[in-house]
Amino acid sequence: MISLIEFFRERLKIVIVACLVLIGVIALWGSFMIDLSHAHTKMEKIPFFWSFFGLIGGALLILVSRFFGRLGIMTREDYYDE
Amino acid sequence: MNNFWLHPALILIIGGLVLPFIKGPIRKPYLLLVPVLTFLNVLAMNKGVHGVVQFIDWQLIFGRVDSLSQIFGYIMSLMCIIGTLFALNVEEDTQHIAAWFYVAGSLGVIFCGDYVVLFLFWELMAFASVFLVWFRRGPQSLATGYRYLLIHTLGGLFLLAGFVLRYYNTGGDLSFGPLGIDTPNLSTYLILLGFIVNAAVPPFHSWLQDAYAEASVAGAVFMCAFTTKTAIYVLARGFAGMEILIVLGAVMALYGVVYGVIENDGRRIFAWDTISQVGYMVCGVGIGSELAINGACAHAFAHILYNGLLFMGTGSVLYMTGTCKLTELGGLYKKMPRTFFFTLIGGLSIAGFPLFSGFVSKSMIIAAGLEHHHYWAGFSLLLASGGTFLLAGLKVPYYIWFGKNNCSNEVWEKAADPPWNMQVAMAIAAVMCAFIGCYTPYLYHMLPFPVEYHPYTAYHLSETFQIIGGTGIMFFVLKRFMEPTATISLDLDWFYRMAGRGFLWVDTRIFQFIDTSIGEIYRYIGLFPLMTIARFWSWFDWNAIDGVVDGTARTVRSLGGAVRKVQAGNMQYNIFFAASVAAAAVLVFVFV
Repeated sequence: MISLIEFFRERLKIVIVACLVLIGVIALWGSFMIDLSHAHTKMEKIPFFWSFFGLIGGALLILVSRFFGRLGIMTREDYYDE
Repeated sequence: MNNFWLHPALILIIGGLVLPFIKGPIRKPYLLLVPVLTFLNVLAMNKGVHGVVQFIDWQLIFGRVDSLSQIFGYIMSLMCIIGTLFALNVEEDTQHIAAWFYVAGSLGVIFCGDYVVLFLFWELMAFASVFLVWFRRGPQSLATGYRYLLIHTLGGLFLLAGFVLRYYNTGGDLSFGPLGIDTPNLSTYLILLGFIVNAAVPPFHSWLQDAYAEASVAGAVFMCAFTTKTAIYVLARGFAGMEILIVLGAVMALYGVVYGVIENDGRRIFAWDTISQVGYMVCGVGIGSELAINGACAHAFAHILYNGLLFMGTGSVLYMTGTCKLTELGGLYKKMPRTFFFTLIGGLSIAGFPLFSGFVSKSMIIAAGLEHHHYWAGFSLLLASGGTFLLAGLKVPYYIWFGKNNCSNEVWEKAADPPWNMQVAMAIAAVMCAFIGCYTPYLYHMLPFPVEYHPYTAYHLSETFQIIGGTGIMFFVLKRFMEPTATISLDLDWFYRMAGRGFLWVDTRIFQFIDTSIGEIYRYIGLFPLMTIARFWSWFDWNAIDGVVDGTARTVRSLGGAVRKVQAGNMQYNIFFAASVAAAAVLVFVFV
């Protein structure tokens, strides 16, 4: 297990490129090569809709959470110890 | 026909009471035997109504066995085996007893047929599980336990008020079944409030991450499985189709993710994830269609296993290293490779990755929402699904097992895979997660309604991979915003914590000041004159009253005392004094 992880870690750039290529292929396959009749809304039929949903959704969750945390929600660990 | 019916909760309760008397090499086999017997008992149950007891004017039902209660009973008793196996090295009998009583409470609620029995076991769950927090014996455990108890007592009071009101409104109906959600009244809302406190629906959710993160290592594994899923069961039984739950569920799903992103403690992250995942189930109950209720049940089943696995994984890190904070860990794959592997399977399952359990369960709820045109809810749940992958599939694995090594020398030295029993428990849960994801009939055949849903369609696979892929890219692009910090996150529990602190401040500063002031004022204004008056009357009593009444006696006593001094016991002095007095008397008589 450890040697397998280290094998991939030593080839990190190849792993990253392979993952990106795989995501791209899946996005192409999901947008143009499958039956879209299962879609519930019209916008789901827009090419790469779910890829953009993942990208924008992920970015929104990270940035909104961080912004929310910086409003004073994130505070020192001994806050309640006083 | 055999009328004998043994309640599975009874096996756990009796098993727990006998446990302190079991010592030596048979203790560990006994620890496993009791939950295994409970599981077999649940498996052997026939559908129908059992355990009917006449109590005063009420007919109490302890054993309503149908397809809904069976699936929940099955997974609860199975999780009890896995949890007990994980906790096998815990020496304290009391911790095992508390855990078993807690599961007994859950099974009691699942198989009950009326509100009296429901309430009895509902409270057993709350009062047994609080000990799992207290047994951590950390600096915060006691206070956390009391907060947990306080919130659950509040929930219990809502429930009690609700069913008592319903009892009077309906002329004595205590049966627990679907409530009139089309014409809800006060009792309906009170019962709903009682249930959603246990389901950790905002704003009643703060007890969850507070207690789960503070519970003992084994205690958290039990706690993450039973309370919220028992609440989902009662909601599915009583409130299927109540639309307010769709809104609440969607809010929960996103709320948990947002807090999980900014959290630093591994177990607390999964506690937030629990709120998010229970949101899916609440949403499913709110949609109320057959597919949605099936989805809620399937997701509860899957969630109990993968959430248990995640808490076992992070609990193992805490158990071995003494910390679960992301800022104090990193690079642990070299030291805890098996724990990493099992926790990763839990992470992929909760994220709904194909071939794992979450993929075949949560998608049923989302599909039901979209089918019934609750588009905003469906898309919220899909967004939360991406967020869950961010947390459980990326953030926790990256910062605990990879990333920058922030371990102190002590933490690094202590880090290792946990004892065999903990690893076997994780392995069983991991295999179950993969099995459910790969072989759907196992789970789908247990669901309350016939299943016509197929998760492995090309469209669903492409949708899931694209969301996960997009979210994954964003994690690495925006990683600096995901970087854990040594902070805690303030939540709605701030209000009651501060209210408690405010009460204490008012009590110690204001009321105590008033009390002290009144005491001082009384001392100077009240007590001093009173004492002066008392002293005067004492003097008056002694000198005036007693002077008159008892004066003679005191004079005689004084005289006696004086005379006693001359009674020295020497005869010559006595004769001298007597002769002197006699001479003095003669002189007085002659001359006066």
